[in-house]
Amino acid sequence: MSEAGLSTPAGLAVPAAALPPEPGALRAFWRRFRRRRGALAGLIVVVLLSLLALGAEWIAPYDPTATDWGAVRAAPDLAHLFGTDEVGRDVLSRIVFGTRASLGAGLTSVALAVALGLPLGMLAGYAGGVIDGAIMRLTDALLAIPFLILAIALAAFLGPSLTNAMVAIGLSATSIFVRLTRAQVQAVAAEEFVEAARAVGNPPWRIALHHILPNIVPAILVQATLTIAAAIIAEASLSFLGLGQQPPEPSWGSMLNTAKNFLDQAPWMAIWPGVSIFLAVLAFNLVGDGLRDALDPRERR
Amino acid sequence: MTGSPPLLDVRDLAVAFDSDGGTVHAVNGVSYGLREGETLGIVGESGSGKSVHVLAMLGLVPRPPGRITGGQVLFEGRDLLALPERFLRRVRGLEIGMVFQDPMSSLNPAMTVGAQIAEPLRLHRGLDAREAKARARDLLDLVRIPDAARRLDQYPHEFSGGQRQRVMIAIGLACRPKLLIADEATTALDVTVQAEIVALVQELKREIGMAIIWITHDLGVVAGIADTVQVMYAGRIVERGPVDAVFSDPRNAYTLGLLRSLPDLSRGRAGRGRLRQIEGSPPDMRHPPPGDPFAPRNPYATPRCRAEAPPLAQVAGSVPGHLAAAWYDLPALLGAGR
Amino acid sequence: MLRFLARRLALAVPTLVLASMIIFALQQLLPGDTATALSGEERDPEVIAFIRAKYHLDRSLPVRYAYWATGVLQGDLGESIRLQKPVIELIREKLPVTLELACLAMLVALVIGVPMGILSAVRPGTWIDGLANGVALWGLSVPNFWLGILMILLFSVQLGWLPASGYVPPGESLAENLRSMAMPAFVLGNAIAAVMMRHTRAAMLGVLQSDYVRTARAKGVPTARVVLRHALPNAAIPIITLGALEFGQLLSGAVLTEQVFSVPGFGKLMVDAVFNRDFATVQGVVICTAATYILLNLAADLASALVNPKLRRA
Repeated sequence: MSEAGLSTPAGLAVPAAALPPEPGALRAFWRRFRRRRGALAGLIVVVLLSLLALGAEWIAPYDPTATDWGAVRAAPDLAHLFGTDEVGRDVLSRIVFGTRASLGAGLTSVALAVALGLPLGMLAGYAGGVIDGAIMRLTDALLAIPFLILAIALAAFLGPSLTNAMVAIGLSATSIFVRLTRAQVQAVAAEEFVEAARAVGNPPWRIALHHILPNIVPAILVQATLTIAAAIIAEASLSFLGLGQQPPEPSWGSMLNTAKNFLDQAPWMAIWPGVSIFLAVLAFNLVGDGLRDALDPRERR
Repeated sequence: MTGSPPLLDVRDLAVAFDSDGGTVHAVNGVSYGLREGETLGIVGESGSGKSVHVLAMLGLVPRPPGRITGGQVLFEGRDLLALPERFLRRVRGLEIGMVFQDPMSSLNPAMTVGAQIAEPLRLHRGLDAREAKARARDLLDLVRIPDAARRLDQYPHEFSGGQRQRVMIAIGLACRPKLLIADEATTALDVTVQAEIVALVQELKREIGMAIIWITHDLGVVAGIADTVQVMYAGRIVERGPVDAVFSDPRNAYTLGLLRSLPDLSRGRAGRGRLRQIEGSPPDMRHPPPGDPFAPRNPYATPRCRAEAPPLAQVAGSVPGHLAAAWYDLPALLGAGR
Repeated sequence: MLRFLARRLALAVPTLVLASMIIFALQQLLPGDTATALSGEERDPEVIAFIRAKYHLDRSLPVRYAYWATGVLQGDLGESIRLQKPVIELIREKLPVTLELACLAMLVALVIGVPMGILSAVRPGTWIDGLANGVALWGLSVPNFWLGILMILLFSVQLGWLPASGYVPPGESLAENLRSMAMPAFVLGNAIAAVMMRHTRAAMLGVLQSDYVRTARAKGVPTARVVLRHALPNAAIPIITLGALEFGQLLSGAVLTEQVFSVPGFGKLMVDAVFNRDFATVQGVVICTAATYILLNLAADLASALVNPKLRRA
């Protein structure tokens, strides 16, 4: 393993197992990933959507909340490529700004779920015994409440807002990561190099952090990517129900909610937000599937 | 005996598998014949092509990645490789029965043993459910499983390993095939159970008179059961002949290596000491070495071995039908070495 | 098998108890005074006093939970302040509608997903496999409320073939009932079909590589029979168990589907309750969902035990 080019802050010794995989392994992984055209296309879409979200101010042709009573439910034309909505706001601009709510909610809620689920899962998998039993019963109980139902209930009790929707989605998705992490930790902890690390007297926290964690990152990464896709749908769902992004701020889900009432007069209001959700979710699903196949050498499944 | 056409005539059979790292040439031009009622033992280590070539004969090699790249397999004069699947299906189970290695995984866990034995009878002989069940019971009797009537309705997990292999044999023999192929049929079993199964097959052969191809990596089993033995290495036949001739007078160094790794019961306790292993490992069949594929592991290899693959030819000075592929003269080398 | 089921049941009980605690604890998330919050829009001192007494809000949290849980066990899920009705009664009214929708959707999912999964596993790497995977990816990525809107746009607004909303009870007219349920059931089944296809494909791929399938082929069994008689029963166990887990997804999806098509079921009840700050109803719906889900998983274990001869005899 080459350590050249890796600058480690002084006083922070990085043990071998914590280093990122060798450059060769990374390149091989990229080669396998790139071979999957779907995954590559998904990655491109994810990058493009991220750019849209970051540069919304510069990209969107209009202010997404500016109403224009002279152009209410105007069909798509050169001035408004995607048409306008029931109060004359530019649909395209709202789609562009809506990327923020969707990607932001997807990333934030999954980050929350990982931040909670990973330590709990590691604790359960590594400590075993009563702690494991308690954490797993709690996880089972959370999993018994369907994801979206739990998110709706949480959002209802927390009060409707985009932040609360993200918290609700993140909490609802936590149990997925607890389970996955625990299973992974148990598998890795049984491996010989962990035995060896224990034998030379490493304290448990050090083994968990430096020997086990790096080995379970790929599985977590795959699950996180796929969960982002689910979280984007969940955010759109909550916003569609009115429990997420509050008007007049734009979100694809709430745009569809309004569009539902004008289907016969302004069908374009229903098309573009849906296409956007579909594309974003599809892209993350493709990247997730591609990551899984590229990270798993036994790609039989 | 020599005048009648053989039951099975394999001509230059070749099988390859496509893999990420290149094409694996698993079987490279295998030719041999099998008479009616003959028992042929095929010996080799895993990867020698011994199992793959029989699976290929019956169209059981998954495709992709497997491909039959050449040859003919004449069974009673018909080329099995050219036969459409629906005709080949009637050969499988009806005319050629098969017994596989692992009786634990080779029986369907979700079907009763009776249904599994009855299935070929219903498919190929057109028996109705009742007749097939009666025949299945006879077959369980035949393979010496007591209390057959009751056990027909049980599932495989209710049988011991040896009993399951008996069930597999019952399935293989259900339609009274002319040929039974046993692919490592005793490998997964305990030594004592192995002996029982071998004894059973010998008895059944006397009763039914089918030809047998017995595939194994264990020369000891072959000695007890076969008329003819055929040794395979790296997808080729390296030696073949009557069991006595090959065992007493091997002409290929690989055969010799296999014989030396065998605990020789005739030599008594002394012979049971350390068995001699063949050094090295089989060649990478994606890039087989030029010449004799065994040459890199062969202490007797000559420069010619490394350059040119030897043909399988009648051994001078041995019985007719004793064939070997070797450029060197093994008895002379052994004589000189002693 | 009885012991196997007893063990599953023993695991299900603490899960349900914990789930009920979580659902009960949701109340604590309400901002400000719980009684005032629970009273919804009313702010009527009488109502607030009633709530305070009903939920024993002057007592400590564990005691309140004990009261609440005892009530739940006796079928008392609280009162809907807004509708002036016991929650259990509301649920009894709406549950059959959602169950009908869920069953029809599951039917759609099975009819599409399982054959597609089998075909793609039998012919991996071919155009059939590619098509099936594409359909699965579509099913997983399309938000079902949007698919619902698109279908309304096409079949109701443009073509006028199916009603855009409304629900006709099967007792009134079965034909009209099915007409009103066709789009919701398809929309809801669509995503599950994708998941079922993936499960079926994975399970079948594994089974088709097994030794006993090779044995069947060596017996001369025709391909169709190998797939349906030898492979499918063995693949059925993971398909059933994983399929039951999808029921949660089905209930989640029902909330949105019912909203889009204005189907007066469980999900609609929940969303309406959320908007009217009718928290007792929200809690009641969630606890019923969790109970249904846990029971269904038990049922799936039972079903897979029935398919698996090893468990059947044990």
